[in-house]
Order: sequence, then structure tokens, then C-alpha cells
Amino acid sequence: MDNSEQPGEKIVQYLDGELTGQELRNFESELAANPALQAELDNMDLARTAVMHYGLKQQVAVVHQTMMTELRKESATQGRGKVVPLFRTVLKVAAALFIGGLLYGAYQYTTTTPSSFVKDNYQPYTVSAERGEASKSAIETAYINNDFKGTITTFEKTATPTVKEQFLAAQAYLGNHQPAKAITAFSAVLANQGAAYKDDAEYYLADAYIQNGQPAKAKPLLVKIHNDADHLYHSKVTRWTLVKVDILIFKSGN
Amino acid sequence: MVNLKILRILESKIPMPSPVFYNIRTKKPTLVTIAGPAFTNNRNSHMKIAVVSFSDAELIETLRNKHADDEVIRFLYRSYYGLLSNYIRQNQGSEQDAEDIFQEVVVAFIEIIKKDKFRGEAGVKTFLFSLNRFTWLNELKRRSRASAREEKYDNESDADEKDVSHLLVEREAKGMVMAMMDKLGDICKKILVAYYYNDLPMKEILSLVNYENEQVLRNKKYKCIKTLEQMLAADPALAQRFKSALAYGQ
Repeated sequence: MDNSEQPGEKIVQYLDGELTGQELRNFESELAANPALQAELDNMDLARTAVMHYGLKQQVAVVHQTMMTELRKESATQGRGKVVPLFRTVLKVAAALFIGGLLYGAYQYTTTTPSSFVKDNYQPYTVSAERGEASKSAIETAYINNDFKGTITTFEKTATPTVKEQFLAAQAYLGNHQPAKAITAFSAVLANQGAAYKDDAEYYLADAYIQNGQPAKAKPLLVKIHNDADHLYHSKVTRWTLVKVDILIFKSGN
Repeated sequence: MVNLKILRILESKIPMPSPVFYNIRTKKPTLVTIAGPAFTNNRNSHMKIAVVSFSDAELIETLRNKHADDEVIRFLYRSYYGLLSNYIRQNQGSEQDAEDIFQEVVVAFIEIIKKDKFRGEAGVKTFLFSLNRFTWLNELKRRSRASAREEKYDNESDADEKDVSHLLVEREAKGMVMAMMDKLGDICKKILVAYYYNDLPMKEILSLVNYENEQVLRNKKYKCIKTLEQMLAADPALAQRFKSALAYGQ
């Protein structure tokens, strides 16, 4: 190294804290007396500052690369995390609904019997007063008095009963738990073309078939009522009524 | 003295939703204050990773007294990158803009702390947000596509931003000086950074570069710093601007 490099080297040694004792004092004296040396020291100090700044930028840039990888991975994980719990929640709700449906179905299957069906759907027929009607027949009188046995006895003794008497007798058989005879009587009512009690007879005939353990025969009648919005008993036959009849058919093995 | 209070240690297979920290025993997220030196070991994805957290005071104290540790920088990323990058993206910035600005903010923040220019009147979060906003709006100005926003910004900037505005000037000057550094070449940069920034002894630097002995290395180091000094001396205006930029309002 030549002599011209000496002042510069001294400056660096001074900056690096390598000058001590007399050497340090001599340099500081020279520095105070030599503005050019001071200017060079300032620039050298600035160069060192630039290195420090560069070093920090480099360090941050290196950490930046690793952190961006980590943060992106984390962001992706969180994104998935939102979807997975939502999917799980939907699955849980679906599973709960499915199990609930199964349990309810099992309950309905167990509890749906002909007697429970009739209990839920059968209401004794009520005779209404007919305008201009002069007098009531013995069958009608017995039925109005809830005397099902009397109604049946009188009916069976009547040679040519009217449609109304046939219908009330059928109701009496049904009320007296004689569904087979009720089926015959309701069928006779329906055999009369244009019978006044057609809608009533269809509905109660279906009830009679259910009571008699013949749900498969009740089904077409109930489907017809369900599909006919003008039928008197349309509102009484819902989809659920038909499902219950299907259960009875399945259980009866027909 | 900063006390180490607790570490979170997790298998790195478990995602790290920072800045939430996990209780080692319960494995449940917990807000804990952790401070002190960094403890990391992530050589591969199956190793355990320790994440260290700092309160504002601990962060300032650590940065002021020590060489900026990687863990401190990682903490800044984990805690504030989401918030600050969101601001950039919501104000016409791209993802790359957000990353670049955040790097600058981190560098400026560390240098401001080291120069003892952080007054601490606002919290670190508020201060970083202001630095981020100011840096980004300056960048928009530089791109000459935000004249209307300039006016809006001048009217809307609050006390916190006015507080940081005097700290951040001459980004371009910094950039130009960094370009000078690049002209020095890789060996010079490696030696100078190792010596002045990483504070490594010559013996250790010798193992990083291919030189015969310490004296040869010492001569090389002198030539490198001298070259940089001469570059700065050749452009006194730039040197002055760079000096002002890194003085952070001194």
C-alpha cells in the first residue's frame, strides 16, 4: 500500500474504533485542523451508514421471503378452515334431520294400526234435519238416538229400505264395530246411481275397509277423495293420511 | 432487562395463526406477552417452531439495544402485515405494492427506533400504520397518478401522520445509494455487510470469503469502503439527500 492511502486507512481505523492512545489523539488533532480530512471522514461515515442501511434491507428482504410463504400458507389454511367447519355444520344438521326423520318414521310405523287410524279419522255421522221432511223413519229415529243396535235390528227387518236408511244402517254397523256388514251396506248405497250420500259413503266405506283390515281396498277411495278438491271429505284426506294407509298396507302384507 | 415470559412451541404441521399464540399444555389459543431473544428452529417442516411476541415497550427496547433480530422482524410481519397490506390493497395498490411498502416500513421503523426518533406517543401499531400510509401516498404521488388524492391527503392527514411525515423523506435518494452498493460487487457487499452490519470479527468473515489471511481481507475491506466513499463524494448532492433521508428528521 502506498503512502497516499495512509490518511484514508487511518480514517477507517478511526471509524472502526481501532485507534487508541497517542495514535487516536494525533488523528483527532489532525482532524480538527484539516477540513478536507473531516470531509473525507464524513463521507466515509456516510458510506458506513449506507452499508448499515443496505444490511438491514437485505435482512428484512430475506425474512420477508420466508414470512410471505408462512403468511400465504396460513391464509390458505384459514380459508379452508372457514369452509370445513361450515361443511361440518351442514353435515351435522343434515345428519340430525335424517336421524330425526328415521326416528319419527319408526314411531309412525310402530303406532299406525287400523284402530289408531280409525280413532284419528272416524267421526260418527250426524243426521241433519232436511227441509220439508214430514216425519222420521224408525231407523232414522234409532240412529239419531245413538241406538246403533236398534238401528241395525230395524234395518234388517225392513224389506225395502231407502238409500238414507241403508246409509244410516251402514253407519250403525260401523259404530257397532261390524265393518264387514258396513262395507256391504255402504257398497249398496254407492250402487245407487246419483245417490245423495255418495261422498259420505265413499269416505266411510274407506274407514270400514281400514277397520276390516283391508287398507289396500281403502286406498283407491282415499286417493280419489284426496285428488278431488270438490269432494265433501277432501280436506280430511291429506298426503299424510295416504302415507299412513301405505304403512297399513305394508304392515298387512297386501 | 427484558424477561422471557413464555414461549409457544408447536409442531409446525399445525398452522400458525399468528399473532395468536398457543398455550403449550392446553393447546388453546391464548393472548400472552412474550419477550426476549428469538428461539427458532425450522430447518424442516417437522421441526418445532418457537414464536416470540413482544409488547410495544419490549419491542422498542429490544430494537434500541440490540442488532435487529430476525425474530423481531418476523413478529412485525405476523402482527402487522395483514393490517398494513390491507390498507395498500384498498387504496389502489397491488399485492406486490403491499409487500414492497411493508418492507420499507419495517426498515424505516427499525432505523427510527435505533436513532431514538420514536416518541412513543402513539402505539407501535398506530405509528406503523401512519408510516405505511405516508409511504404509500408518497409512492402514489411519485407515480403521478394521484393529484386529487394528494390534495385530499394534505387535508385529511391527522396528527399521527404529520408526526411521521418529517421522518420519511427522500426515498429516491435511498434507492440511488443502494444502487451504488450494488455497483461495489458481491464480494465487497459481503465483506462490508458482515463487518459493519453483522458486526462479525475478521476471523469469521475470512471463512466467508476466499482470501489468504486477515490482512488481505482488511485491505480489501478498506478498498471497498473507500470505493463507496468516493462514489458518494462524486455526487455531493445525492450524498446530502441520502444523509438527510437516514437522519429521520435529525
